[in-house]
Amino acid sequence: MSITIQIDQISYSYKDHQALNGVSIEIPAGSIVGVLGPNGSGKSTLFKLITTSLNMQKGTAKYGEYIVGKDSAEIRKKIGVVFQSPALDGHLSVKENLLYHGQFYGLTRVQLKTRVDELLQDFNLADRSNDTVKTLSGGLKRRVELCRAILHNPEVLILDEPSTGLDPNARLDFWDTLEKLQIKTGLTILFSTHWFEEAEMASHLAILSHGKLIAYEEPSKLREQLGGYTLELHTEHTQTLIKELTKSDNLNITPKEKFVQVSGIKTKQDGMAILNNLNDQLDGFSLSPASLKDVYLNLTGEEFVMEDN
Amino acid sequence: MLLYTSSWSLFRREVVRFLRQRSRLIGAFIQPVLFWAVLSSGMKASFKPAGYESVSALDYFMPGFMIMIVLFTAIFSTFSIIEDRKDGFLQGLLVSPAPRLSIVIGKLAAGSFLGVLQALVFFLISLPFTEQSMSFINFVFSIVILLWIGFTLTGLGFLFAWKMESTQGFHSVIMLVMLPMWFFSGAFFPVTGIPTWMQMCMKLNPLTYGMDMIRLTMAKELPKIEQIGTPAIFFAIFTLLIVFFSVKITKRN
Repeated sequence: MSITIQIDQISYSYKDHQALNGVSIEIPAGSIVGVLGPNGSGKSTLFKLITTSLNMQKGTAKYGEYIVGKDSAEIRKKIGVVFQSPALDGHLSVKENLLYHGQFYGLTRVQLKTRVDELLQDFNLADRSNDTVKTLSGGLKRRVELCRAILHNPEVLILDEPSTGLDPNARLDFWDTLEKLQIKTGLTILFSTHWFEEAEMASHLAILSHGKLIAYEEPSKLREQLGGYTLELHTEHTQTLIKELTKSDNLNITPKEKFVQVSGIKTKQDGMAILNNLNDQLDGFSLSPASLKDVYLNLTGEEFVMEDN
Repeated sequence: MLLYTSSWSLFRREVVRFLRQRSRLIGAFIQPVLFWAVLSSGMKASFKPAGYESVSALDYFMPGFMIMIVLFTAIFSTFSIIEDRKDGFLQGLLVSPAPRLSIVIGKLAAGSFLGVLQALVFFLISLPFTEQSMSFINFVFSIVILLWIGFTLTGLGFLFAWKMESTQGFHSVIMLVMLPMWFFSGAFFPVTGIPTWMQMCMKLNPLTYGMDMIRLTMAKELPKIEQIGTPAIFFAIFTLLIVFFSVKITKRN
C-alpha cells in the first residue's frame, strides 16, 4: 500500500525572501527519497507545504489523485509525519501518547489497544511503555515518534531531519528500523537531511540549494556523473597551481580558501599521475572516491555549511 | 466520529496533564479561595451594596469567586497551547485529520471541566460559612451555567494563546484582559449605585451576563425565563463568537 507524490513547480516566498523557486520532484510509490540541502536551502518550507502545515502559494503537490490544499483532509489521513522535535507530550507515558494520538485519526481506544501493543513490541518499546516520554533518551523518543507517525497505517511517511540530535549508534538503529518497516509495508518514504551519510540511504536524492532543485538522481549515479575521484591539493601558491592544472583538459577545478579541489578524475591512476606532476608544489594532499559532499560542491560551487552541528 | 474521538482525546489528555502538574492546581484554586476568605471577612461589617442589604459579604462574593476559579483555570489551562507549540505536540496534531473544531472543543471543554471541578470543591468547603439555600435543581442548573462560562472564558484564553510565543507574555496580556473583565462583571459590586461610566463598562462586559446568570441560579428558586433570558442570549452570542474565531485562527497557517 503506497502512493506516488508529485511536486510540480512549487514556489514559496516569505516576506523578505524567496524560500522555494519552481521545485518539481516526482516521488514514485514505494521509494525512499531524500532531500539534501543545507539550512536555508528550502527543505523545511517544502516539507511544511507538502505536509499541509503551510498554505501553497504557487505550484501544486499531489498524493495520487489528491491535491494539497483542496483535499488536505484526505491527505492528512494518508501521511505520517516524523518531526525534527518529536510531537510527543513529555508529561504522558509512551503508551498514553500513542493512544491519544491515534484518536486524532478516528481510531477508538479499543481499536488502538491492539495496534499500540503490537507496535510497541515491534519497536522494542514494550518495557518502556509506561514511562513518561521526558525520561526517554533521544534515540528512544525518536522511535516512539516513528510509532506515532505510523499508528494509522499511512501510505506515505515524511521525515524531517530524522537524525537530528541522535548519536551515531542511535542513528544507525533508527535507519535499521525504518528500512525494515519499508520492506514490510512498502510505504513511500520522503526524508530531508543535511547529513551526507544519511542521504546515502535514499534510492533517489533531490539536492536543494537556495530554494532550487539542482539535481535529482540515484546517489550512485550522482557520484558517477561527477567522475570517480576527487583530489584536494594543499598549497601556499594556489594561483600557480591552478595555472598548472588548467593545462590538462577535463578536470573540474574549484579553488577553495586553503586548497584546490580537483574533481572529475576518472581513475585512481589518473589521480596519482596528477600528484606526481605536482609533487614539489604541494604541502599536502588527499585523493578519495567522490562523495556526495563533492557532488554538492561541484553542483553548487559552495561548501556545504551546517549551522546547527 | 473523527470529531468525537479527537475532541475526547484532547479533553482527556488535557485533564490528565493538568492533574499531574500540581503547581497549576494550586495557582488556580488556592489564590481565589484566599482572596475570598480575606476579602469577605474583612468587608463583613462595611459591605452593604444597594439592593443586596440583606445578603452577607461571604454570600455575595461566593458566585464571583467561583467564577474567578473558573477564570484562573481557563488561563492556566490555555498555557498548554503555548507549551504544545513549543514542545512540538501541536505540529503533530495539525497534520492529523483531526477537525479544527475538535481542537477547540477539546481544549475549551477541558478548561471548563477543570475549572468547575475546582469551583465545586470551593463551594463545598465554604458551605459551613455561608447561608446557602439552593435547591438541588438550582445546584445542577448552576453547574451547567458555570460549565458554559468556563467554556467561553477558556475560549478567550485560547484566542490569545494561539499566537503567543511565550507563556510569560501570554500571562501578562491575559491578566490585563481577564482581571478587569472579572472586576466589572458584578462579582465585586452590583450594577446599581455606581458611577455611569462604570455602569457602561459593566453593561459592555460579556462576563456581566454570565455573572447575572450564576447569581440567578444560585438562589432559592429557579430563575424565571424573563429574568435569565436576556443575559443568556447576550452570553450565548459571546460564546458563539469566541468559538467561531477560535476555529478560524486554527485554520490559518
